[in-house]
Amino acid sequence: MAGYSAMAGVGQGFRSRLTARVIYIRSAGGTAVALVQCDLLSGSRILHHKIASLIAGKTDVPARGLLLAGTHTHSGPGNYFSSNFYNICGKTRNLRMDAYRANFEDIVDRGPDPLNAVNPVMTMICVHLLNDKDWYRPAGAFSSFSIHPTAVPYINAYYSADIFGYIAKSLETRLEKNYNTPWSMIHAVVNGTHGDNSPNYVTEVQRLGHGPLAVYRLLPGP
Amino acid sequence: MNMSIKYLRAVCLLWLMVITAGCAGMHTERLVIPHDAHQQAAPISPQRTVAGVARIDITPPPRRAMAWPGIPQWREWGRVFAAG
Repeated sequence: MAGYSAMAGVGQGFRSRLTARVIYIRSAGGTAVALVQCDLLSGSRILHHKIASLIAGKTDVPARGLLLAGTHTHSGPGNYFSSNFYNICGKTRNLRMDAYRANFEDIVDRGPDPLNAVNPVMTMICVHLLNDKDWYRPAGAFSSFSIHPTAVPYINAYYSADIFGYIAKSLETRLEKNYNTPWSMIHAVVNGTHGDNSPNYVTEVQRLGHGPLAVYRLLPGP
Repeated sequence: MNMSIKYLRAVCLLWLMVITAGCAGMHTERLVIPHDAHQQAAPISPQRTVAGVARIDITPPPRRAMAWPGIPQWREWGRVFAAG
């Protein structure tokens, strides 16, 4: 498990499937780009170069057109290329607001409400495809959101997409149902900047699950 | 010197060697950065933007519990001792 020092080398099954979602775009006469979201702890320069090398002869996506971003699930594989670096040095703390309050009560009391101090914005790009009836239908969305997305506790030996899996799946399911899309909708949601405190396991995760649909409704429709 | 200290020192040294070897392997790995060989490819449709989406399952197969290569995780030690 990536980032779980105590669970390094353990992966006894899965709770939810890990996924890589790809959005390919090429404008007329332009360079092809592939936006790739992976249910991994992070992107990786080594991994990026490896993938770019593998697809160079098979696609028109150049290395500079390949974006590889992770969701920062701690319940996914790590130790890329057998390196145990993160598991040795990156002991996850998974801090809670209660611990923060206990340690820095004075600071919290003088500042803004800590639960509302940070309000990250979800940025979304939506892709619509033209079907054989000349109707546009949503096919995919690429979103970026800043959160430390670890709701699954560290005593865990099963792979899980964690919060971003929920955020991704909720929009996919709703749009497929609402638009009756002839294809499987994908929502590639990736992690932006993040601190090291985790969201509330139930309420905050549910709020995040419903958030993408609200963002999508702000975009120009098909 | 106490045998347990000797044993502990040997284990620490072994781990350090494994870590060093792992880090060295990571840094010396040869990377091939591809050239933009397909920049001249003709566009599929000159009139409009081409787009596509895909979803790929990357769930790895289950692994046996191992903290380090060859060294079982703490929960496995009971079985190791039981096996002698």
